Amino acid sequence: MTGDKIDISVTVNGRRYRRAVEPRRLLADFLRYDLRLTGTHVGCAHGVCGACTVSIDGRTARSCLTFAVQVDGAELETVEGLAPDAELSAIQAAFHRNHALQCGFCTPGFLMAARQLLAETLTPTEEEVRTALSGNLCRCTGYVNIVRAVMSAAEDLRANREASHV
Amino acid sequence: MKPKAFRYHRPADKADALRMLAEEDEDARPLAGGQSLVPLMNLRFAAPSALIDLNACADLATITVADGVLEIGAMVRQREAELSPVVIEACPLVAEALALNGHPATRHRGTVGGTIAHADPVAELSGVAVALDAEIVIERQGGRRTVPAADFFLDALTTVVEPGEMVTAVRFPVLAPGTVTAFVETGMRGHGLAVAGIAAALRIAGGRIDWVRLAAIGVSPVPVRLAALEEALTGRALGEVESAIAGVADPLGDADLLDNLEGSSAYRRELVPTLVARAVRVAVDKMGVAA
Ligand SMILES: Cc1cc2nc3c(=O)[nH]c(=O)nc-3n(C[C@H](O)[C@H](O)[C@H](O)COP(=O)(O)OP(=O)(O)OC[C@H]3O[C@@H](n4cnc5c(N)ncnc54)[C@H](O)[C@@H]3O)c2cc1C
Ligand code: FES
Ligand code: FES
Repeated sequence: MTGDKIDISVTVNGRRYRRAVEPRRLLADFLRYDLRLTGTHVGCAHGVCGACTVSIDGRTARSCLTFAVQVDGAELETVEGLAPDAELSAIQAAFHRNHALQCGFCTPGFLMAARQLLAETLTPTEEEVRTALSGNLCRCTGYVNIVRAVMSAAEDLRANREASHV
Repeated sequence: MKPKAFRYHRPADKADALRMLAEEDEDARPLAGGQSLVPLMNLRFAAPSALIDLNACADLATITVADGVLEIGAMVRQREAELSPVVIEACPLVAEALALNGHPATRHRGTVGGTIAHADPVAELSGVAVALDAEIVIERQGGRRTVPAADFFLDALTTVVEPGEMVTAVRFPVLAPGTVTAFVETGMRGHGLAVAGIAAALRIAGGRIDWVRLAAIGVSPVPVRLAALEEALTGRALGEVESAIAGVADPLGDADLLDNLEGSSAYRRELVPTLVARAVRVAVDKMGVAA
């Protein structure tokens, strides 16, 4: 009975999925293998690198430390949800402009963590950006351009907000 | 990576969870935020027979203040407690310590009960619990006991919680008006795990330290209450803090010291007075803001 599958229903990027999963199925593997949403990356599978960061009911979480059975009924967002119409989101565009990625392996996690921060504040200090991204590791960039990109995205989003208020 | 297969239970409330814990075998574990348990399972250092997932138990996720006690339910998320105006008002040291525990994404899932029950030697909140004489509420089906934090931690990753029992809440004292607090730590990188840290709370009257509570994490397998330093600092003027700390020959007493890759026991012995002086300074600096 240990391996018995359990039915779950979950919304990912606005689309509803129903699947039967083994309790030990990690959410990261569920997204990648069962739903074929391979934008979520697995760097370490034990909570250290943040590459697998997704949003569960509006809050970032590590999908390698959550079991798929636990998100039954939840609303998830993954990196694929950031640009549904193939047009880059403000944060993605800022990463592109600022060379905030090299190999790109860590990028989905950084984008999700940055999005959480900018949903909470559009006026972060550089130190707040570094704190918000502290759970994500990048082996290529040295972080400077990532921090710069998030600051720049915040500025763009502030300008947009002001523009839409006039 | 794949953890070993396990039976999965998702109780709807505390009573249901306690019943399942009683019915399952000795290798069943409660699953809280999963931020320590799931890494261990993925690496197969842990292979529980069953997981009792507490995430649907809303009655374990409440924060209340009554009779001078701030009671935080075991399943309150670390991030929620960190940002809670009720917690910040009643016992700011809890929020300050949790802000240093992991990262936003780990604190969104990780819980107050989970960090206390896991008993990592560098867990910030355990230090606060020991400094402030918090109480841990432990329940089993048909039974409840309350254990002072000083008696709760037995060794690294080991507490007095028995199979069939679980932590249901942590009770912190509401700090008296005028109390200032600080949690300071040092680690290999700015936002990473601490090597050692200090939880401090104090009150000043007439320019002198009137009341002070101190505990260290990361120096020993369990948090250490720094009673000799508390005694040496009580009654001292703010200008005498450094000399009072320096005057205590052996602040760690007979505590068993950690000695590992992150630092030798000699390094930890030196860190403690330095971090205590820093913690007192950070706490005292907040008085300007409060006054
Ligand atoms: C990248 C990263 C960085 C981290 N940094 C820090 C840090 O700086 N400081 C720090 O202290 N921790 C850190 N952690 C650990 C994190 O804080 C965990 O959240 C915490 O140790 C465990 O809480 P949890 O709710 O996730 O518990 P879980 O992982 O679900 O459980 C941990 C253990 O406690 C048991 N347990 C859980 N709840 C209860 C309960 N109510 N009663 C009885 N037993 C229970 C479980 O069975 C398990 O054995 C970090 C983790 C990660 C992944
Ligand atoms: S893959 Fe999840 S944190 Fe590294
Ligand atoms: S861009 Fe390569 S790991 Fe970050």
